[in-house]
Amino acid sequence: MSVPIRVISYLRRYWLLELLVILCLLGVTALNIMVPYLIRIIIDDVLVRMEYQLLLFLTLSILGIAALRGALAFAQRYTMEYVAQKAVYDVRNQIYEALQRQSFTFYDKMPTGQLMSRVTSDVDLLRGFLAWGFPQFISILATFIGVFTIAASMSWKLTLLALSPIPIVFLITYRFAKRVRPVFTEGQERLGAINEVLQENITSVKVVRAFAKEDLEERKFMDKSKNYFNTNLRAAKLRALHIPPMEFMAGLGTVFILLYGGTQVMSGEITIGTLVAFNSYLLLLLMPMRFLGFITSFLQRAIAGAKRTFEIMDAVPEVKDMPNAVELPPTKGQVRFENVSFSYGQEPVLRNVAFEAKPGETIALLGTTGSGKSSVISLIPRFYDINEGKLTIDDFDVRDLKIESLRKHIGIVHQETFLFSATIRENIAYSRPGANMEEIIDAAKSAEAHDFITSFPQGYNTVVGERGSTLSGGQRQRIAIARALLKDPKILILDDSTSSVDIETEYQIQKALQALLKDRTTFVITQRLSTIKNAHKIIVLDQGRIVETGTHDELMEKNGMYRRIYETQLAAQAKPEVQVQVVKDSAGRKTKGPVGGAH
Amino acid sequence: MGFHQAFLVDEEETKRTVPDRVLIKRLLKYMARYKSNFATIISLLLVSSSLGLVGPYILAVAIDQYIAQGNLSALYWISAVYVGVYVIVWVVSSFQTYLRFWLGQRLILDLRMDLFSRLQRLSMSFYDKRHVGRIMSRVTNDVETLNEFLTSGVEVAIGDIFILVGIVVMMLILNVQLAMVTLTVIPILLVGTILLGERVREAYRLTRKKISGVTANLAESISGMRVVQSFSREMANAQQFDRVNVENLQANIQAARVSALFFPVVDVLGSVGMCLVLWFGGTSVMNGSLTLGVLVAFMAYVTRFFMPIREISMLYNNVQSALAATERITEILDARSEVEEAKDAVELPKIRGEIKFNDVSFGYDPENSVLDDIELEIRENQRIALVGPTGAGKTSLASLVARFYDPQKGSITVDGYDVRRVTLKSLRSQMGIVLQDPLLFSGTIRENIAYGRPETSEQKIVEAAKAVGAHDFIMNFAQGYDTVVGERGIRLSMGQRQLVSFARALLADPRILILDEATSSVDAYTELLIQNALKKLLEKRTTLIIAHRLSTVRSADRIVVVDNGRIVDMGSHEELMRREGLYRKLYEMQLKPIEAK
Repeated sequence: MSVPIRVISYLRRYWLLELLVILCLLGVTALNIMVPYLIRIIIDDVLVRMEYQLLLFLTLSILGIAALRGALAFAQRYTMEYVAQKAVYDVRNQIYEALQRQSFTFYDKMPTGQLMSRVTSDVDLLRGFLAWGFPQFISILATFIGVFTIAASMSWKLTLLALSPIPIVFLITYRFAKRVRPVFTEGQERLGAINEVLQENITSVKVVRAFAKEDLEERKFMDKSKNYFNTNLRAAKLRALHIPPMEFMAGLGTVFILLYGGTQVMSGEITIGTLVAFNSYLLLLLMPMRFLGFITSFLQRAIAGAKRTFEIMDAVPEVKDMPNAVELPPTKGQVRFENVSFSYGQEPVLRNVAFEAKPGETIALLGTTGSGKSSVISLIPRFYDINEGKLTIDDFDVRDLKIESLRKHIGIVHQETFLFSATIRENIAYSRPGANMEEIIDAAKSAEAHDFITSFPQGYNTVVGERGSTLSGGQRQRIAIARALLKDPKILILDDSTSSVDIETEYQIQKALQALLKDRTTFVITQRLSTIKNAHKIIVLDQGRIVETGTHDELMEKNGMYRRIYETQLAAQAKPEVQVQVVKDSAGRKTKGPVGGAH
Repeated sequence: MGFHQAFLVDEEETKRTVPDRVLIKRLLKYMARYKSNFATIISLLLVSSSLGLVGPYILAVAIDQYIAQGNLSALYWISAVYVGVYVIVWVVSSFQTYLRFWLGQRLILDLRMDLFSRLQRLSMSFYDKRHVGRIMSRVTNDVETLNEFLTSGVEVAIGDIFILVGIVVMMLILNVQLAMVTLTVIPILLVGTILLGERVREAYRLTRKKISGVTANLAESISGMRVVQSFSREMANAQQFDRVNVENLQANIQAARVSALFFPVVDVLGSVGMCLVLWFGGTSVMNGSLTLGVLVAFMAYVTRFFMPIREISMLYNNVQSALAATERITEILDARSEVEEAKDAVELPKIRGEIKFNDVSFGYDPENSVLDDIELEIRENQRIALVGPTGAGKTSLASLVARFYDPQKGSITVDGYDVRRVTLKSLRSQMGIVLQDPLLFSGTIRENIAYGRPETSEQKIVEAAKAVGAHDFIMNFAQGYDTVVGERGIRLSMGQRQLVSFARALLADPRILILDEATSSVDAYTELLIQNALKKLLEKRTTLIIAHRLSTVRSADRIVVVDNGRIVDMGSHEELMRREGLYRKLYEMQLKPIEAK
């Protein structure tokens, strides 16, 4: 479907109102056309015959027509804008839904600033198309047909002559439209680029300031702005070249009328009234003709914007429900990776990963930075799809499951806590908006967050700033834990490698984690040694492959990578003499609670 | 989740206080930069307008003198003149159109740059209080609104005014009485315009506010999309978006209602004018006091009269919208930075790295102080660690050194210079700050490392990467240092991002280095790997470390214990352990076993 047609199809919902608009438009046009006709009568018949009464009557008629026309024009304009706004409202909601459908890869590739440019600026162009461009177009068309009909009935010879420049006008318009559209598309893209730099700059303001890079940022922004400027200049050049000739052509028509019409009057073929009427008609046509160039360029710009909008709506999410996707029934929580390989674009990230998590087990993932730990756990909720192998939950291949039902059973505490600008209560209840206060407080208590929350003057109704900036890292993390706890999921993913908390809070989070890990299948990336030691299975990754698997004791005996990491982390966290004691004391029995000694 | 006003500034709520005159003056000031271009455009416009005015006059002459008298040759001649006029208009129009657009775009560019520059100078508290989306809306949406106005609006308005005056003059020349009759319509028009104008203005102000709300919601949703999807919140979020969307819709419909009134009103008044001409003119022709040609000319002029009026009223709607946008833009342009460079700020020379806190008290919100009576002296090349419970004020302390905020009481000096007396650039370029959140830019790894010193050689970049242990993983990428990291560094793992940010700080080679929980995102194993590099990193610099991991803290020359905004203890690790105070308590807590429930 071509873009303009698709844009117009949004009006379909409001077809009754559209009909009203068109009727009003036609009404206005018809009334417009009547006036010169009446004037002709005045000039030819009334004035010559000195009929004062008739003059008064006709003049008042014209006034009446004008009043009626005004009413119709108001109805038409208002309704048109109303419908256009509603259509745009629909478009915006649709885009929003389309955005929510997209998977992580989409967001990895398209920066926030660009996206926002599309949903606001481009959509607004669409509105202009519907509210103004489209009706104007119809108006011009209707006027043209109407004028042509009446004028031809008065003198078809004169009509043809007067309208002879019109085909050239259309030709110029067509050429202009074709050449200007790609320029506008580029313009919108470059506007998006400006947005991108802007958004990053505002979000990373701390870094910019810290490195005193304001000048650099300004240069970046200037660069993008200048690009946009240049593109617009090209559009201006095209306008300047194409629009004035259109006006000239229209003016030529007037001259033809004068010349030829004048000779016709002189030879008595037509009356002066007809000549004057013709001139009025031409004026009627002239005004929209002047606009034609303007409208065309506007329409082209609007179409360019609409196209970008539709691109988002049509974007196919990489991770989506299969046609026969099933709901995941209340799960036991068994997760199995069978020979899973995963690449991010060109970069291979995981190779032949295979392991099983039995219901209720805690699996700890370890490895140096970039070894693929985060990738493993982001595959389970299907944030990305694997390339090879199979990933099952309770023997259901995750690709066969409905995404929403899959994720409802999984609780996630991300590495980077993202909180929304809302109250603490709303943030905790994010996972379950219907939860009551008791449940929320319970979750907060288990997450060891209740105390600090109630220490704020407004307690649970305290508003956290954008990105949760008024809280410390540890406080945000505990709210995120409460958020996950409230969901009460059977499968839990805990990306906890940010030990972004002070010693006291660390202790509290430990306690919170205890509650969290019970009776759930948990995948945890952590540095807390107690958690690692008490995991049912420890998986050590290196460069995307599993290099060691086993319990803490098994791995210690192997004397491999795990042991090295373990001892390093322990050494990093305690005094040497304490460490020795710990190693000797550790009984290594698999229970869910930590055994005495250091982490 | 709504947008609560309690904490965040919602200036949108305040009614428009700045009068139009002031705003228009601001805009004109921007135009004043291009005086000569502006003058050229106006002259060209005047030329084409005046030529346009000639048309009806020619018509009148043609009808009365040539056609009525059957003078064919004169008719040909005047037609030629007519064509000639149109040709000139064509040429003039081309130039004028291009120049107009050039000027409009230039002004937009200037405005955007000024806004952006201003934003670079505003202090952190400005950003703390506002949504990213709303700030962006001003630089994008609001400036675009001015586009139409600046590109066509002003010049066309001037041209139209000229036309209007010209038409009045022509009408008076042709026939004074008829002219007076016709012009009685004007006062009515003016009154109507003013009355309606206020309502239109308010309506447009509301629409700008609502679109800003949509933008803000979008910005947050898009940047938090991963969380949204993790919690399957799509439906709830869509409902929330719908709410702001609806508000925007309603505001726009209201504006439409009011502005839809405008044109029809003007049209009707135009017709009243036309009817007056017909009636009075007609009777005058019938009793012989007026020629037909003049009547026809008058009718043409009346029609032409209301064309610019319509354009001006179209412009008027634009103006309201534009003024509303201008007001929001000037808010930023006029915003005062809390941390402002003193007029006579001096360049901070190459520092040794001594920092002193002299009786400093500070609070983000002046009512709630976060730091009280801080006295601290840090000598050059010392390594100081700050420890203490959450919210004790450690990060605030560090922020003050870099002058992200100013203290309410006391002063901070670097090498004896009060930080408020030196230029921000000379101060901050000698400092390095590594935050917990790496905040990378979308670009290549190389660009990110070299952010602080864009001109650095490749060799130095690789050296820095090697020093922090990042080189290996970088080379593992297919494109190595040219790997694009994506928005906020999304293509790298958290630890990798942090390593890059370390390299970034190292490359900048600062005399004072502040590490604010910088290794929190890196696992202990990795931290150990970079420990040696870190040792080198911390050498020969004054370092301020905020960390919870004891290994990091232990090696400091002095540990400062902060609690509740005050310094409660100070000393080396051994000293503090012996003292059995808060430090020892915290230290043992880290090793304390968790009792099984």
